[in-house]
Amino acid sequence: MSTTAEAPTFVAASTRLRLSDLVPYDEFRVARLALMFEFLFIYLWWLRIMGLPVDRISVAISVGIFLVCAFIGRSWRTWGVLLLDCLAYSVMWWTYEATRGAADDGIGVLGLFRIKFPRQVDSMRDIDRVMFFGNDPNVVLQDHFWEPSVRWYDVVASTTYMTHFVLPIITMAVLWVVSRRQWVRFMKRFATLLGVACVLFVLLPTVPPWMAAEQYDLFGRLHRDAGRGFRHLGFKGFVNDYHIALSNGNAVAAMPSLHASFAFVVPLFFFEWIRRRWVKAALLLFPVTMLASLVYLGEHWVIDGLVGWGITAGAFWFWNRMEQRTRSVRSLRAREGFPMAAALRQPLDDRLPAEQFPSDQFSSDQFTTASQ
Amino acid sequence: MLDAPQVLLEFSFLRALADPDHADHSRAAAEYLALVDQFERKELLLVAVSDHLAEFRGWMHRGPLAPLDRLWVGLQHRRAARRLVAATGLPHDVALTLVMCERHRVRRMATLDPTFGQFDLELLTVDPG
Repeated sequence: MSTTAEAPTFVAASTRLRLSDLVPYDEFRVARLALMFEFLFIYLWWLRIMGLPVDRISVAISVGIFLVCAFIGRSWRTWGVLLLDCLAYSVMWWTYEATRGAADDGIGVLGLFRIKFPRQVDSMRDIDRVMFFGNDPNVVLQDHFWEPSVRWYDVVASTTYMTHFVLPIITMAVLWVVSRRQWVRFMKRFATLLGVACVLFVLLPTVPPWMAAEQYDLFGRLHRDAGRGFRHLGFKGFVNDYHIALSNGNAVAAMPSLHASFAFVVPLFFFEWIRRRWVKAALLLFPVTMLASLVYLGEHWVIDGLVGWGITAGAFWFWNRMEQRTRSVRSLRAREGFPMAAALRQPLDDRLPAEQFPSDQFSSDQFTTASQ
Repeated sequence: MLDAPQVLLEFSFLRALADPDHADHSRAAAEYLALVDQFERKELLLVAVSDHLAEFRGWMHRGPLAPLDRLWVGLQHRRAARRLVAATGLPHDVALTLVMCERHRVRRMATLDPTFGQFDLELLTVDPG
């Protein structure tokens, strides 16, 4: 091809040697796959017998073991990058954990005095009541659906609630193995929403509905047993661990809901690879179910979840723009490096009608055709 | 799988890009800029073998090769390349490039070296002027 403005055409040789037949096989690949499957098997066995690890240390250990399985035989440089990634990952969670103290004790200013932000006891409830025409969604849902015995929707709500502790972590671990580039993209968005949430935890320490009922007597008693549906399925160990983890958690951190945010960030991240609208719509049912579960279980106000979704969407908007900007800057540097070629291209691009120069002419379909 | 298709800029192509006196410089530059357009539209990723980019250090990051990502060569890649050379008699540099393509699932290459025409790679053609 010689027209400077056209997209490049790739052609395949007529008689070709297959690289997979030629290049020596990566002998560690089999070991990695075997170890990852073994890890998966042991993890599922552990989940059934001992329960799902949810505290930070247990999760870190299990993710660490998985990554060791997945990176065996990779280059030292890859291991170095992985260690740096793990360090950044740990710092992110450490910062998150540190806000617990700040939310309870306030922020120290030069060691002279502390600024404590007032607990939001009924402000979120008031917003919920405005949105729901004077009703408390938590109370309405529990009045209608909470029974002494466990119902199917308790199992759904409880299971959805508990996915919070595994879904983002599994997503991160898998992305880490499949594509570090995508892992970095995911972590930028995840860390941003976590960071904004931490700031709000400090500035706006919000009492959750169950605490508002128990300690502030805002409305009648709310049942609080997010694990009962899970216990009903036989995952007893998980719930025991969960209670230990919960006792260490920041109870006054309802705004925003990280449960709702994490349930939104995972499907939203994969949206760009999903073409069918109904699949996207089906995926969005997950965060909706999560928010409904949180409200039903008395863990969050509705507004907590909505703000969490808003922060998540904002993080995606911000990083999508930043990444496009970075790509544009890198492309500009390339064009500046070859001003003659760029000058030749520009007027021709302008002259070509859009249908002659479709944006998708470099699609994978065309490549498949070219290689046949 | 999740990433856009990768196009590897092979050493001969990089050399033509970097050398204004090279016979194929202007055509390589034109092809490169067309690839860069597609990089900007998120349709592909531009990569090169780290050993090859060592010669163009000043061209990365803030230079004309800023859109490129490195495929870092590890010990296992060199070991595999040595075994490939022993088995086929290919030049070491070609063998290393093929190993990097196979291990990083690169199937498209921009090159001026006709040697790569015999492998199942989709090659970017640069027409003679």
